[in-house]
Amino acid sequence: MGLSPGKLWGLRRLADDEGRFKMTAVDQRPPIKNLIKNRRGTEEASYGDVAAVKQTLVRELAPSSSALLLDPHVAFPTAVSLMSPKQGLILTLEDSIFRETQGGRLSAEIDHWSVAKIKRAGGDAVKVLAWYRPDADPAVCRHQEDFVARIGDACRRYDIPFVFELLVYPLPSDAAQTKDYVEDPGKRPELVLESVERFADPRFGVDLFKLESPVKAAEVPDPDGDDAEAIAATQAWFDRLSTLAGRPWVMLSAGAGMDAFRRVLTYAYRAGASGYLAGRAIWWQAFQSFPDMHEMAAALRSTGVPYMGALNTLTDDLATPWPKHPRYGDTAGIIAGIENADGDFRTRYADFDGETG
Amino acid sequence: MSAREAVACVGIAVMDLVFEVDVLPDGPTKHFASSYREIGGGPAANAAVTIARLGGDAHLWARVGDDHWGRRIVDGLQADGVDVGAVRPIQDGRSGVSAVMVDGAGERMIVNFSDRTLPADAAWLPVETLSRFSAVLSDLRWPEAAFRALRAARDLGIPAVLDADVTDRQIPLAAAEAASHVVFSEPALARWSGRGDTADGLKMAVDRFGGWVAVTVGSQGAYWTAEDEAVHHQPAFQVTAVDTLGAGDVFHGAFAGALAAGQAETDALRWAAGAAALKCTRPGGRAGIPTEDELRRFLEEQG
Repeated sequence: MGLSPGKLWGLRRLADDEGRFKMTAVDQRPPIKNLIKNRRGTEEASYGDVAAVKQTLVRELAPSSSALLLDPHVAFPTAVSLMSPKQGLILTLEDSIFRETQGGRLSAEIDHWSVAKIKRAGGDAVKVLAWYRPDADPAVCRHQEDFVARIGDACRRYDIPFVFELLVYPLPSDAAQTKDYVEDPGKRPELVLESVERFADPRFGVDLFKLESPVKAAEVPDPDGDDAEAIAATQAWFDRLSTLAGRPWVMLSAGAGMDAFRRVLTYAYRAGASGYLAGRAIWWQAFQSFPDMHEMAAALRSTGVPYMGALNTLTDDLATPWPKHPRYGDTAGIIAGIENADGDFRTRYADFDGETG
Repeated sequence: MSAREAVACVGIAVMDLVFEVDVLPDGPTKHFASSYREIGGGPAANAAVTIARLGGDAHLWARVGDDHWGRRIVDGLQADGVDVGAVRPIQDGRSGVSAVMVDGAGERMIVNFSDRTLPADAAWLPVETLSRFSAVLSDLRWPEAAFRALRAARDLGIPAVLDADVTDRQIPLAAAEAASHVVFSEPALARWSGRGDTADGLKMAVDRFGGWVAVTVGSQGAYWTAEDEAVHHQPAFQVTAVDTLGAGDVFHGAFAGALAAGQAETDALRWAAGAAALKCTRPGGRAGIPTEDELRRFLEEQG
């Protein structure tokens, strides 16, 4: 199966030459602002502080990354020029502030921001996070599904890859509660799998899933350890996740620690994942040096960069290059290409024929 | 294996200093050994000696330090009939050595030194000479070399065998894809696949690598599968084992040598299982590796 030209080229831009995603997320908003407010003792995090943090992250971590995920508020306008043009650029579309209702969380796009604008700004892909609980109020589920389908349609129209992130969260009726951007403390694997299964439907137009561990990160056993039964049981959850995704997927870190995230990645890669899109597992420790930006940069060099080196070796060794994902290619060397490649190529995008340049 | 088919073995060559002790050391004080010997080791080096002993033309491609142990390693390999023209002493590098303590029950305590500063660059390997070779066998202790040699062999259409044992990282996909035959150890397949079931692990390996994949399971022999996805079994020969150290290396060497001689995989596995079994019946490391005549007689006796 082939891809449309923009989606093919966009996905290739995000991955390394072999087709493995080594992507660093710098689009966080609440987690970064909260720590800054805390350290400064202020009501709000200043634009300058957030920009300084994001610039430092991009400067130090971009060389180890095949692509970076930036937000349109701070990271893109102030730090994009610190990236190499060889690195892929993913831009965030969802507002970090969600509406909490009795029936569940409601997501929305960032105001004044859209798929069309991301394409015009030079983005290689659109990233959207949707909070989702398959057992939430049906109206909330429908709202979230409409939100995702709307963005999927726009990504098809503008022919740009849709990187879709799913996170389960605690419903108001659950015992364990958090409003932070961390793993749901009451997470159950079934909820993660059912969510992925729903959004694997072609109507959502997802090109690359950014998925959380179906098993709570702290409970994932050492993949190289001796507890064969626990390893096999954990692997089985990841295998089901990979099968349900039905397309290339990457692992997210959701605030997991360095060791926990590396353990999670091994299971994901065994199951068929094609890389990672992670932020805090890589740089959270170094960020604790804020507001000493010099110290933060040094800590990134001494902890973040070597950690990415280890992740990248594991990714090279074990991750499935995305063009070889069963949806597109096979081990015989047939890899993803442009669908219906022929001399009529230029007649595509007929819906844009009325627009003159 | 009658002709002198050339096989290039790629990876590491080391020296084990073996101290026999009554009780394994348990504290920071002086301990006394009842005997001491030096035994050459390293998967690729042991496999090369096996190929030479079985009548093949064995070449080792490896790095050693330009030190005392490096010279001893090379001398030992030469004495065993291995071509060491592409064993490069690295200036200011240190050779790999292990202090091995063995007690009366055969329990071991090992302290290994590997020089992590040895240059990884494998561009100097003489892959342009592979057109006169009949197979390549590589271990994973030098991944850059494994990839380069296996890829070159594959391009020439000669067997490219990867010895996929446990190391400090995962099995590099690029090297495994480059190989025509991947032979896992049982722990390595379990660690790579995360699957407790050998058949599931083999199926995953064939899906990822393509080609032909086997796993050696000690006294149970070997299981293998290929594109048809059926899992086949080569039982081990039942022998009384006195020294299993290096048996896997002997298996890999004999297997690659037999493929080089044009044997089909099933025959090569039987040949390899016989070589490993015979080796296990004898003490003394490489000294226990059988000759071609010994192995033929053993296999005839087994029927």
